[in-house]
Amino acid sequence: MWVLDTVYRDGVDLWCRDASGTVTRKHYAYDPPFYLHLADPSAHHEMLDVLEAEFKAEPCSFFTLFGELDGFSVHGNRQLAEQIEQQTRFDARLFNVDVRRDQQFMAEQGIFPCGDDPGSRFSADFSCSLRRMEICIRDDPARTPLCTEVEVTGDCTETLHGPGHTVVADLFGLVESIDPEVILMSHADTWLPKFRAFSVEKGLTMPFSRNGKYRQMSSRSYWSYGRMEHKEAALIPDGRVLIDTDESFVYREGGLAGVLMASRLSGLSPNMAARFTPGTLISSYEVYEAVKRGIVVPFRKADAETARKLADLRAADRGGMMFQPKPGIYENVNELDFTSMYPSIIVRYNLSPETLENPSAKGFLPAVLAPVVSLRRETKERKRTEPRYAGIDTLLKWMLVTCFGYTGYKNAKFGRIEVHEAITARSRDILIQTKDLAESMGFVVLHGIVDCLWVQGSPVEVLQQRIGDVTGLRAENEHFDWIVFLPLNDGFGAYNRYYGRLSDGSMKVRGIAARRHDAPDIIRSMQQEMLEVMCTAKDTGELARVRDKVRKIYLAALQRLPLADPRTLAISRRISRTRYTHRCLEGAAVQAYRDDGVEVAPGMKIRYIVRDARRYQVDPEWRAKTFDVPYYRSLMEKAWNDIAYAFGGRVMRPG
Amino acid sequence: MQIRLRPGITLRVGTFSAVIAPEHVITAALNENPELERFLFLFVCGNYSRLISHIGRTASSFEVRRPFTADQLLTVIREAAHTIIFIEHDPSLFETAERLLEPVGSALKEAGREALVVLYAPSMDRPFAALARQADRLIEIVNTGEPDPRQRMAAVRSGHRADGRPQAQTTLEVQ
Amino acid sequence: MGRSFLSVRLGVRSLAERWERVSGKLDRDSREHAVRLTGLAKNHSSEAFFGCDNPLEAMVFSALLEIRRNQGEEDDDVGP
Repeated sequence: MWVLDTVYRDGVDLWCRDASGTVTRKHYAYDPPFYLHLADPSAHHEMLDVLEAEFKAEPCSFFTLFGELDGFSVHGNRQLAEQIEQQTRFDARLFNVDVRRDQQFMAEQGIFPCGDDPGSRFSADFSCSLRRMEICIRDDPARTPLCTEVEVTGDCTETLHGPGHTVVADLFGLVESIDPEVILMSHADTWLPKFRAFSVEKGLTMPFSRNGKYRQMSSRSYWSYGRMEHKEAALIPDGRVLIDTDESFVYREGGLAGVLMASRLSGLSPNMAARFTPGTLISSYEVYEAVKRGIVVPFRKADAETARKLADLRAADRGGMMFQPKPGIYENVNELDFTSMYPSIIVRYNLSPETLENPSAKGFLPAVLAPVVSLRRETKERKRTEPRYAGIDTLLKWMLVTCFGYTGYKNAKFGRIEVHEAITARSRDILIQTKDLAESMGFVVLHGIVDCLWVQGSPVEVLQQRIGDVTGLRAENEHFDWIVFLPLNDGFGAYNRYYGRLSDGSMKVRGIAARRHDAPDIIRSMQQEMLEVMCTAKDTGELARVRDKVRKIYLAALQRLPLADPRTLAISRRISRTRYTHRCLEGAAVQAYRDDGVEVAPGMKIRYIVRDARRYQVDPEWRAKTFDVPYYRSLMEKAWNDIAYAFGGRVMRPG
Repeated sequence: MQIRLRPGITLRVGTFSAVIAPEHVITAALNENPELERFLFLFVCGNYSRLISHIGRTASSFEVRRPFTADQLLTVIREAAHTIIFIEHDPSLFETAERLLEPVGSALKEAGREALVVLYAPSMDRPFAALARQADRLIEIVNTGEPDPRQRMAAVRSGHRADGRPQAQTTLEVQ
Repeated sequence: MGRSFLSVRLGVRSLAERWERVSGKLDRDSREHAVRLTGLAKNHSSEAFFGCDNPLEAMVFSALLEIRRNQGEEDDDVGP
């Protein structure tokens, strides 16, 4: 059974695809209970009588992460569970209340979406050959009621152009005739509500769903990794996968293969997997695994950290280890990178909420993460020669990155802050151990961040082997012919700003305009052009010889600047708020958007051009006609300074 | 057993007090009162503590517990068996858990029958007001030493808070 | 989950800025030494955070280490 989509609507609907590509709905009656534990059931006997009479409550025992509990199974919904909480003055412990029922059904049945071989869930070799259709809408959804210019790619490419009502009607016709299994559509989640309003007004049937039904996701803004994100309200069609190619993080990073892999692991339909963050995906994966193993999922996060002495807490409350680099240009440097360090630590050191008190027990987190860590190792290796694994590898990388943070997340179902702290403590020990080992073997350690170490010396293969033997973790190596560690304003080395030439002839760049999504195109492309020239230099001697050529790129860009198309100067920002207490360019941009009738919400991305920096005057990208030349010249100069440092800094050679 | 906040303002065992005061008043009260070392002290803060970095208490009787959800806060208060229970209010705990304001308030009141319970915030907000409704008394100490406006502007420019401390690190939250 | 305590690294940054401000207020002779001292204090603070509990401890450790190293080099210059 190859499941393309799943929905819970008075039972579970599985939309299954057969070998010929026909998609049909299978309905299963399914009404699982939630579980209730009371420390003193006799104190609540009247409530229990009602639950037994009206909600089929029955005494039972069930397994939590921490062991077996006696309690009751109750057939009811979330509202009932919340009533029980109120009634018991929050003494009740509830489980399996908010598990997605379609996901729970599949976990219990041992099935998963986007695959039909039960043994192949952790394999990267699965088919992505779904009938797909790409819909590229040129109009800006924030400023246009209906699209007027659309390119549709299915078996062939068609361009729809004209008044909105004609274009949308034609688009509906194409979706119906091509009948794709997957639709990849730009800004789908913004356009679909508009299409629905249009179809209601004109009496048309919107063809994205196979049965006319849509699930609704509400819009929201939320913090993720220190930045505000925004998610549009979404209409999700039944029986067909619809991916918002602009807003789906998973699609953007991992492509369709990444979305399907996320769906296979998390047990969520691809429609949901495409709309969730990696954090939600890893937590969903843990929930799926818990249900599969017969472990109930807590409704509330009520178990707090243990009481600790202030000094103990202070000692535990630390991040990853860092060794600050000395800024400069270095030749023959190896970057040793621990693959998926944090999840590997969880697995190797058996770190899980329930093993903190009982270290000899086999932990839940290590058990469920181990196959994902192994799969990531495999995809990381295979993508070197087979690019089709790159999307899956990126998805796994993100899921594994977030699995660490998730252990400390306040609402993590299977998290606990002490696990989070234990992981970082191990990681610090490992990086220090690795540094000591490298230095004892005659290597010079230049820089280190959490799970990476930059060293000069040889033979690096022997060092890698020793690191593996000593730490039990695998360190990958990338060799730089030369690398530049950039300085901070105070002259000390920056942790995350460097670039260099790898031995395969490519450049690795971090933290400078060429890699920053918020930098204006004109600056990014200027720096990229410079790096392309620098990339031809195999050592610092050759690098010095391309200096004039690189500087010419800068001077030419400066000269062209006053004539530049203002759109190439757009600065992108993901806004974290919509009210500003002091004057700033971002605040001015938010106001400019509003003045143009565009609603903004925290987490949304905006693009603006600076018209007059001193007066905080900016224009939205679509309105810009002029720009502040000195302001952009200063940005260009900063970008040049990062590059020029490679020609002015002292060269450090090994030995 | 009592904590002296200011001359004439003392907090005693067997009460639940809601206190609004400048941070330095509270840190001074916690750091400069050697008598507190003799009693079991539980300091409770959420994810965004303004005080904890400035507390210099090293006595083994001083313990810390950090609830990150309102449900955890309820557990922490119910499980506390300390003589002094000091809760640094974190309104973010109640952002999606207003249902717990009343039970947490009741739990504080209940704990205040045996212990000295302090719910502290630097300024009033809606969850604090709801919790404080069940307090035996509400004490507000007004800040008389506002930082110089020029100092505040310099702090904004340098990415620091007006009191000179760097802005708090951001917190990981996933959807 | 974020961090509850101000990290040593952020604390060092804040203290170093303060020391730099103080340096600016000193007479010309002392100013140069004070600026250098601030630099020395930051030199190892990134590694020192691993073992040190507070920023001041990390900065003092770093500065003393560098001063000792410089003394050592001077001793070496003198020779046996």
